[in-house]
Amino acid sequence: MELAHLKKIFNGFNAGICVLDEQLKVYYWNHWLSHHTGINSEDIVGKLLHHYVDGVNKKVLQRKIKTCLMLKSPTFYPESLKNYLFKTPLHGGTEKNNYMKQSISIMPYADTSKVIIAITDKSVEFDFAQTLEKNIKQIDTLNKTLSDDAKIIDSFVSKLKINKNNKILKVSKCLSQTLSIAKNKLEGTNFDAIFTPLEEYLKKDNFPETLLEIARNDSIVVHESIEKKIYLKVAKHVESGKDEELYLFQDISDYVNLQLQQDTLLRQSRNAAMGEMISMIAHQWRQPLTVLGTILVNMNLKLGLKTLDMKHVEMNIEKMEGVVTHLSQTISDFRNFFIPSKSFEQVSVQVLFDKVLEFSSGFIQEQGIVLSTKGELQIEIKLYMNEFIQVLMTMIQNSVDAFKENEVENPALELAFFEATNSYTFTIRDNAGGIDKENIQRVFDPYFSTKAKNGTGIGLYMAKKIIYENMKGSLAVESKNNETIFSIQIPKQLN
Amino acid sequence: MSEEVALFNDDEIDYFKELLNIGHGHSAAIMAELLDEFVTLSVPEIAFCNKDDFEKIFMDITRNNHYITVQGFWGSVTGETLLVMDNNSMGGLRKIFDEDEVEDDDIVLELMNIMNATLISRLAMELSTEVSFDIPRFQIKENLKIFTKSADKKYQQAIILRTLLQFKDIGVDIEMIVFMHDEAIQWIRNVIKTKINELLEWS
Repeated sequence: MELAHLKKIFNGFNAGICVLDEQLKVYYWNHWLSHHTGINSEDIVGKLLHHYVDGVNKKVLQRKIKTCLMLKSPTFYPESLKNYLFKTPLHGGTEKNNYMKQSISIMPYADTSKVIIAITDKSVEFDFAQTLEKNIKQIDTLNKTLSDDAKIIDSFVSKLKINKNNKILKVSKCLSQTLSIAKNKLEGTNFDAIFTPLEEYLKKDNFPETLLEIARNDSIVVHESIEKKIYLKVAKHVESGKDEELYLFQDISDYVNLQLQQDTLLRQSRNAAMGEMISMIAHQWRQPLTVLGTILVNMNLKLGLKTLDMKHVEMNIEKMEGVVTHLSQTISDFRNFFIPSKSFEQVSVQVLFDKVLEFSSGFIQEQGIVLSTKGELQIEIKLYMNEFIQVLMTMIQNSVDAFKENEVENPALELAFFEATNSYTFTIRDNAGGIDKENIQRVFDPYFSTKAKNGTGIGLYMAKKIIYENMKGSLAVESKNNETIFSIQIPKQLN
Repeated sequence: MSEEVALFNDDEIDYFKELLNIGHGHSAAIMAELLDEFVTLSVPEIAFCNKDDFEKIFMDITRNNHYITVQGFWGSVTGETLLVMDNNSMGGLRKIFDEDEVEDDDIVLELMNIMNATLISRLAMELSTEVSFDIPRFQIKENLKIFTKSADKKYQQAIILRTLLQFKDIGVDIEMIVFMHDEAIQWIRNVIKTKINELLEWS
């Protein structure tokens, strides 16, 4: 084809077209190239390309032309390459490039030793491809992260999916391990065959109030196997647009078992306290019963001697009524004490101490213990009275037991009260021999007791639990110079 | 050998391999002339594979190679060629081209274009037809997944050529995988059949 014809055809092309030989002599240069390089056809035709156009990679271009001519087939220089064959400034540039990214095809020009070079501006496409490539890499990275996260979730989160028929579709490794059931055995099984709602489960047996409370507040299911019971807190998520439900589980077996254990302790503690109460009542009754006995013996004697007159009988009946009322009052007092306080009661420290001593006086007197109180006892404070009395009595009882066991000379017990800016402090001090270093750290542990007999190891554990949990206070013990001092601190905020 | 390729009988496969060898020889001649040095291309190992093998082929490519290029061709024979090589081969190729500020990607694309153009053009010429070529492009490994999916849909079989480009003491391992549309394979088969018949009549 004549170059004159090319001119007519290619001048209107939206691409650069030129004809070159192997020495890079220009034979044709279209309008597009004139526009983008600023070099007119008349100026460059017949001249060597690299003498007129800056940024021509002469060596590579010559190699490509040579290859094209030898192959008699096109060679190419795609826009993806880093370097430029014709470094052409891009008007305005793109986001990433100041020079035009060009797709260049070098084709044999008929059977001559010339080639036609076609240059297309691919700057926008190149930017797009680069962004796409970057995004693909990011998506791949995210996919990998998601995949890693999914593995972690599978290993550490107990979850499963069920369909609308309650059939288990998918189970996480973590749940499978928690239940000790293989995934493939769980998948396909009905949800209700594996789990029982706690509420239904509780109907089967007598369960403590704490567990009933949990069942009321949260959705809990139980899986029961031969070896163990597993309690799981459940959160349900219905996936929108799907007939599937996602269940997330939290294994609360440890918590539930702890509650059950504490409930057992509480019952044991109540039983122990009951025993103590009976013992205290017995002490309280001993003296009035002796009085009653004496009156009866006296009356019997007078009856035998026929000296019993009505005046004497009436006087003795009045005395006996007083004693019986006292005995009855003693039982009422103890019984009231064993009813848990429902709310805070306002009481002066003096009344609190009197109540405690009223219950314990029998033992205290029996051991010959000198009791003293100290502090501003008229101050009124609010607390769960019965529970607090239980705490004080536990400590007094411990002191009495220690006195008894250690046969202490001049036994003394002091109850003291101090008011600080933000708290109240009660101390119970005795000189019953103190507590060994190795034991003092463990006195609040459940089932720990140093008593030779009748020690349950529950009293101080429960005392600490009451002070910490019910009254948000603290309880400490120290021992020095044969003395033991228990300190109870209660925040004023509670009041 | 796949069921589809088994449509070629042994004579036809021999003839086809011979055509590929001729094209391959042409590649070597062009390379020698271009580099103005003596270049040899070893006789290629040629194998046919079908669609079921694609996944393994792509996995091997991704695992072992860093330079993966693809170039489409169209005409009576339509398809795409993948040219792959590892880092060591690229090092050798860099020495062979021995250019200032040599750009690896350009060299690989040039080699791709030369190998593909000579092989496929020669094949087309021997089969008395013509083909045109797309611009060769790089396949990043991420994109190869897309290519794999598209190849799975478009092609039933592929031809694998393994050869060694030897230049002085430098060897470059090259693997080319040529995918062709079923129509192209069928067209080639028909042409080969005719050629063989012509030969038989002539003899």
